[in-house]
Amino acid sequence: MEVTSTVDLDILISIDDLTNPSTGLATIAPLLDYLRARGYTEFRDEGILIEGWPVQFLPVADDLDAEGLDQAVTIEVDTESGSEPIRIAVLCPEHLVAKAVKIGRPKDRERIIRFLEENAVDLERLRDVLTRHKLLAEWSRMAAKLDLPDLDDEPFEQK
Amino acid sequence: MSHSNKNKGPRAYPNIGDILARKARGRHEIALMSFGQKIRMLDVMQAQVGPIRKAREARLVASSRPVSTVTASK
Repeated sequence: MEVTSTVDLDILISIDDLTNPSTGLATIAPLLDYLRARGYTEFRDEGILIEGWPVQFLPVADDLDAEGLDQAVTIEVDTESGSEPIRIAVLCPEHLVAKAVKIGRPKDRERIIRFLEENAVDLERLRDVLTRHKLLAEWSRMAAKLDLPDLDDEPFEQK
Repeated sequence: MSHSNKNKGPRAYPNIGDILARKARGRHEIALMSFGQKIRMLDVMQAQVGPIRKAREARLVASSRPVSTVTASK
């Protein structure tokens, strides 16, 4: 897909690793302690500043997040010439689109259109995700307005 | 951090509404910046990703080169 710029970085984190067994409460304090020990102490509204970038750690907040994290795909990102690439788990396009459907802001709708226009989404898989997370009706409403394929129709056409 | 979902079935999730509200506030503040400030912000970001872009280009060039076969002489 065509790259787009962003001003911050969101990192989805598993609450399984952050839940205190004695209280049952999830806290990102250990993560912040780790970063503080390495000198990252400046906070902005968009997140903690790491090497000039605001980074927001978002605990999984629903079943869609949890599934997205569970099915994340690993990619390699280059760092500096000669260095080993960094391996990063990213959400697959279908979960990113489902998340955008759920949030539904104008910028999310733009994101959905871009994913579909660039044929970056497996529509069968997207329909499965939307169905599982009860977002198919919302998709149909959005699809009618934005001229997107109605995944409720069978068969639909994947470009 | 593991990204596995070990606990199946209904589970409780934290409310991250406050985090999202803070993010939205941050975005709104950026939106209120002048055009010049936004351009300067983009310049800084581009400078920050410069080494990553260069590394990526170098890797793509390296991977497009034909692989030479070296045969050891006896």
